[in-house]
Amino acid sequence: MSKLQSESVKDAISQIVGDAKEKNRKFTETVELQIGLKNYDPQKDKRFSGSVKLPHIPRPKMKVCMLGDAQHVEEAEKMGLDYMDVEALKKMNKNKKLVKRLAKKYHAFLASEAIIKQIPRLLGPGLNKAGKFPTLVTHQESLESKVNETKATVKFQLKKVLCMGVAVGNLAMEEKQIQQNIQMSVNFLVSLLKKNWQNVRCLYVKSTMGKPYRVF
Amino acid sequence: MQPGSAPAAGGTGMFVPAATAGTVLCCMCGVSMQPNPANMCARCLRARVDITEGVPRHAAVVYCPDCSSYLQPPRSWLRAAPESPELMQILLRRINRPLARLRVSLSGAEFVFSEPHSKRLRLKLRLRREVLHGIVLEQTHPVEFVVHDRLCDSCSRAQANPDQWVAVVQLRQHVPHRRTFLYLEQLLLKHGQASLAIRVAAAPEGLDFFFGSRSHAARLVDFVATVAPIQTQTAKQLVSHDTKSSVYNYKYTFSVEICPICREDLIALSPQASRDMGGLGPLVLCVKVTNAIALLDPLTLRVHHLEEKKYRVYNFKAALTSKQLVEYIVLDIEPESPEICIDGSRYQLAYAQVARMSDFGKNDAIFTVRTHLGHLLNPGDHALGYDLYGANLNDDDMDMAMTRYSLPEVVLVKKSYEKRPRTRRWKLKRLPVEEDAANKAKGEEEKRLDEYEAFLRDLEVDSGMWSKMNLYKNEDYRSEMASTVGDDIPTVPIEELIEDLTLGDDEEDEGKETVEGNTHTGMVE
Repeated sequence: MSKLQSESVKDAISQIVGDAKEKNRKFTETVELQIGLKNYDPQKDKRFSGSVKLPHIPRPKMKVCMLGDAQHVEEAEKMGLDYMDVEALKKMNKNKKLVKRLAKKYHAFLASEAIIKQIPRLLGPGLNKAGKFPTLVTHQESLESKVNETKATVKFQLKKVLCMGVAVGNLAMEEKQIQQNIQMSVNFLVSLLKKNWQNVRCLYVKSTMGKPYRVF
Repeated sequence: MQPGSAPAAGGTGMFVPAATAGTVLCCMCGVSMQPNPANMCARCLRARVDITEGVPRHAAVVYCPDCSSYLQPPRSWLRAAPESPELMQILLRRINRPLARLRVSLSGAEFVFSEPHSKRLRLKLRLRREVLHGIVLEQTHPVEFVVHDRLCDSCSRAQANPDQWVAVVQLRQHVPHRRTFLYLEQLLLKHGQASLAIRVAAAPEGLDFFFGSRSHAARLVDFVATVAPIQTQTAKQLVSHDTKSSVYNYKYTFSVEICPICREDLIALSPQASRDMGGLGPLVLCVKVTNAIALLDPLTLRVHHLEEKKYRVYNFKAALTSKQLVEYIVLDIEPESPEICIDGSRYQLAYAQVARMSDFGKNDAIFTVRTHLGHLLNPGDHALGYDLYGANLNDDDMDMAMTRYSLPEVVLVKKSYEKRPRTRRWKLKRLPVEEDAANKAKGEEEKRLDEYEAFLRDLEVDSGMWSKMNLYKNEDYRSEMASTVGDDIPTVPIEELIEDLTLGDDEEDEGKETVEGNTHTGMVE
């Protein structure tokens, strides 16, 4: 049961792509979904956060950092992935500015099983405040597939405000792929809300430099 | 004038008479003697006046051969060794009244030897008395005490029937743990409420106290009513009666049921109960139990005190108890309001992001919850809470609340500190409780020790609790090396501890009793 009209989403995406072609930029623009909520009291109601894996990777150039043990550091080195080991984390010594800079530099973090237990002690709340707490990686799964999975995941987290935004695609993708990503994101978001569609005031789809188009 | 001539002239002119001691003759025998008001010598005085006239030469004392104690009238029995100062005191007290009446004072006393098996005790007293115009005469006086054998109250009760009791208090609480009874035990020890009990026995879900008097049992029930919300019933059973003199012997039973809500329990209130308490809840935590239950709404920090009578109206049960606490790690804390103080406890409303310790390192489930522990928790700390997200609940009110409201996934209860096995500098006394034979199951002993250890840990953290109990210094404690790795575990300060040197003698006596093999080893005197 979805109240999102497929036609309006398709039309919005077509217009966004058309506008982008008219005024071409020198970089690949991101398509993002912007959500406004209603009937929701941030003071009283339960806050939520959730992640969903989209069928198509919205941001292929996402920067990921590996906080790993010796084995994962070696794998990351082979892949050309940025990494930090325990000694590098300890050197930060819970310095807030350093942790903030680290959080700004990368879009997502991966961590080994042994390291993730120490992160609250070593880094404090900085990564968590930025919404980039590391994702767990085990030795049984391939690091490359885990990196791709991380790039395909979008995160919804409600804090003290009634609006959110997530990246759901980029203009290098086909229109059908963008539509599938938007559909999946919206359905997951609605399932997190207390009153489902009653809590959604409006949904906009927008490219980085383009006009927003309302789809709900 | 010559300076040296004056003193010589003065000295020459003085006359110093020679001192002469006066003597008089004794009016009875004519011996020269120093004058005294009676005009009689010592020998004639002693022959004429007998200051021991009227002082008893025989007395009786009652002795219990089972516990080697002597009766101090009217009802107390004192233990005394042969020819000991305690025994001397007991014997002299038997003849104190005649001495006082005759105005004879005692200047010394000693035992005269008698065989160990003899039923006679002999004392030699030195008596002093004033006679004839201020003359004080001293004289020795032997006293012989006859020892009568009789069992004291405790020994006769033990000989007749070891289970003889008149009233029993049956404390019960229908919960799967015994933390309440560990706490009550300490309160009873501190206030001396159980010292009159003949016997204390463990029972399923409770304790039984056996008393020799109905009033002693009623006193215990009144005490428990001030420290816990209880419901009592009484019953009595006729044992025997004398039809000619209307004397009845009963056995009395006090059934005391403590309400099954304990500290740190999570309760889902029914809609009616929530409405009656002014919109409290529907999820509340029990934070304190006295003769009322203190319920805290962790989302709004309201505290409501519910009395026993009102509790019986709703009669809710705990949806989750402290055995079902799950450990969480705190990733982030955002304070929402300043720290406040309610009923002596401090709370601060905060948003916390937590993850389960069992999940941490295995998946990425992170919960954002509101908690009342904002002043205690920091990122990286551990906390204990109830996991409503994954719990399998068996409570109708909880199911109703879950469908009506959007309940939080986690309710944090308290901060969790590092568990390391170490000796404490303090210790607690225990009541001598007889174990039920049915409780000798395999894991029962281990479970009891675990519960006791958890009770001690709770006690250490909560200063409001250990201020209500007597803590004693642990003589076996040796200071460990100082830990520098964030040692923030709270402990009891050393000035709160009580030296237990005076109680060591009691322990020795109890040990002696055990060695002697008395049948009333578990008796509290």
